[in-house]
Amino acid sequence: MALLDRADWYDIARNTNWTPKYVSEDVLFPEEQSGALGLPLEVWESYDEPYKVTYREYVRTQREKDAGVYSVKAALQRANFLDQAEPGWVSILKLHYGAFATLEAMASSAESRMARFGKAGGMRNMATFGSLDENRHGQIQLYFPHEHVHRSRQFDWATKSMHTNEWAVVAARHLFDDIMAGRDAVGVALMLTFAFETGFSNLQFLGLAADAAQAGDISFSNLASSIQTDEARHAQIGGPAMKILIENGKKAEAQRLVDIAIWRAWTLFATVTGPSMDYYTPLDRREKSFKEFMQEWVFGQFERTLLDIGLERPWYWDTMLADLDTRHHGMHAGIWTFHKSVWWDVPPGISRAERAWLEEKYPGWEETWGAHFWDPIIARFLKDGPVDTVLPSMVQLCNMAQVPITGTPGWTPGKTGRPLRDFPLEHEGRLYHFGSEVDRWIFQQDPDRYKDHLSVADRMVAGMIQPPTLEGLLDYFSLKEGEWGEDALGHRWLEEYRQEQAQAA
Amino acid sequence: MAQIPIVHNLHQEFVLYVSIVDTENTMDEVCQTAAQLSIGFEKNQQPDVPLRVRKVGAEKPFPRDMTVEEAGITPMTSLELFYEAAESASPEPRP
Ligand SMILES: [Fe+2]
Ligand SMILES: [Fe+2]
Repeated sequence: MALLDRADWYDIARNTNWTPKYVSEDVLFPEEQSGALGLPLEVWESYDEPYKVTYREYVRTQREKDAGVYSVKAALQRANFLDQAEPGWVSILKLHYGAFATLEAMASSAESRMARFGKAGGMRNMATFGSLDENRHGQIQLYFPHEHVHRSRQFDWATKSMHTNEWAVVAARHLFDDIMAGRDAVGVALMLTFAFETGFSNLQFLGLAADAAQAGDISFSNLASSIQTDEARHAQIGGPAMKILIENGKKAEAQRLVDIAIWRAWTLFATVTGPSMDYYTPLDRREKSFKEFMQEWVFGQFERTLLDIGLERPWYWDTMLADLDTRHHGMHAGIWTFHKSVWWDVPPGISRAERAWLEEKYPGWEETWGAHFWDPIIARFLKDGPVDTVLPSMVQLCNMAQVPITGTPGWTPGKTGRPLRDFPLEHEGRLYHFGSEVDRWIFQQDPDRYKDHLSVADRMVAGMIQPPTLEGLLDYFSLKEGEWGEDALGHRWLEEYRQEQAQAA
Repeated sequence: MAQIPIVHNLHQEFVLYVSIVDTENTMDEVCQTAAQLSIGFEKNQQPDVPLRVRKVGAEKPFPRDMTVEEAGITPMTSLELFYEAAESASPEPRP
């Protein structure tokens, strides 16, 4: 049977909307699911997706992608790469799978919302494929770590994480509920596909894939880049929707949603990808620093995309630039000092050679993070022996990002980074705490949306975590022995400093 | 007498802590509690200058011998512990 060329039928077919006779347009596309901001169906007919694909083409390509990724995995399985891999790399894998596998599966339902409630035919088409993509990403990222569960139960967190109240998981869920599960079709298009996927997912799926290739983990490198080819396609759902909103006087609303999503994505990537790239990846395998990746992809490429499409730079752009020198160092410091609270073993990443690299990439690191955070810990460890839980108290978490509120230690005016401070807000008699003016601004955009959530710190204070001890907290996090994180080097890194001390004496 | 949680930001630290103080504690005692938690305290401290306590956003610190209760500090109040001499290092201009 002869097939028509796609170009001969696609545009007509996807714009062949029927006119609802038995129900109104508002019933067919309720605002709370469509989020079309009152723009009628006719307006959305001008939606023009840059990437057109038919089901037949889609299935053929995806089949090839899957065959490639699974066969590489099968071929390499015997090589037992992981048994010889450096501890930092193994930690990255555990962190990655636990953080992303089930969220990807959840993204499938967000794509489905666009596939059903998007008013534009092109959006519905692309999102149908997007939904299948995300289903694939969920499945494949549950399957890959499964073979490693016998090596460590921490790999089981790929499946388990999102069903727990572990603090980093609460942070991830809060974010994805906000930009994905709890948004209408246009909200998902702008916040998940445009802001999160176009702007940031490169960092984890291409940047880390490059590091993986360097580290010799061909299987993961292949997997991550294969996923990214899907992301690169369905990430383009948001752009044409944005165009329509801007052309029809809805720029301010579009800008607001994008501004919220970019900052929220930033706080997640600074927690997950930043430490992975700058502290966990073995030194000689680092492709670039996290900051360099951010500068190239977010402050370079993505900023141009924003401006080209007719949006403005987010109002907090300079704040975010300054945060590049602070936030992920703070997240790493916090996670390492309380490594029992996560499902991966945490490498400190502060050998003398690694510190020299950090100082090169982040001038001023030594006189702040080095001198005011790591050196005091090293001195204490050398004197009293290393301990696993360095922080003697609960830290305060941001009521938006749900991660510790941090600043640059030893900061004084003129130094890089930013000082530690709280951005509190009283709302309806409750006192909220935020890690930045941007997190606080996001809350103020829609207080009813956020006000009832309790951070893990709030839950501790409210007596919801019992007993209120380290054991009680780990139990609340569902972290059992063999799952909670250890110092990934078993404190062997201290030896270098012990020798330094001996030589100095 | 009651135990309440406070959020505090100690001069030049890297993270905000939640700690428990007694409403009878003076501001100097609050500072002592906070300093024990600090990782970089020895490095950051200014031996000849006393630490002071103020609410985030306030200009003036509370008197050193004032108690938590007298200061009207309620649970989860956000406090800044700073060296008076380090005023210029304060994160943002005071009103
Ligand atoms: Fe995905
Ligand atoms: Fe995606």
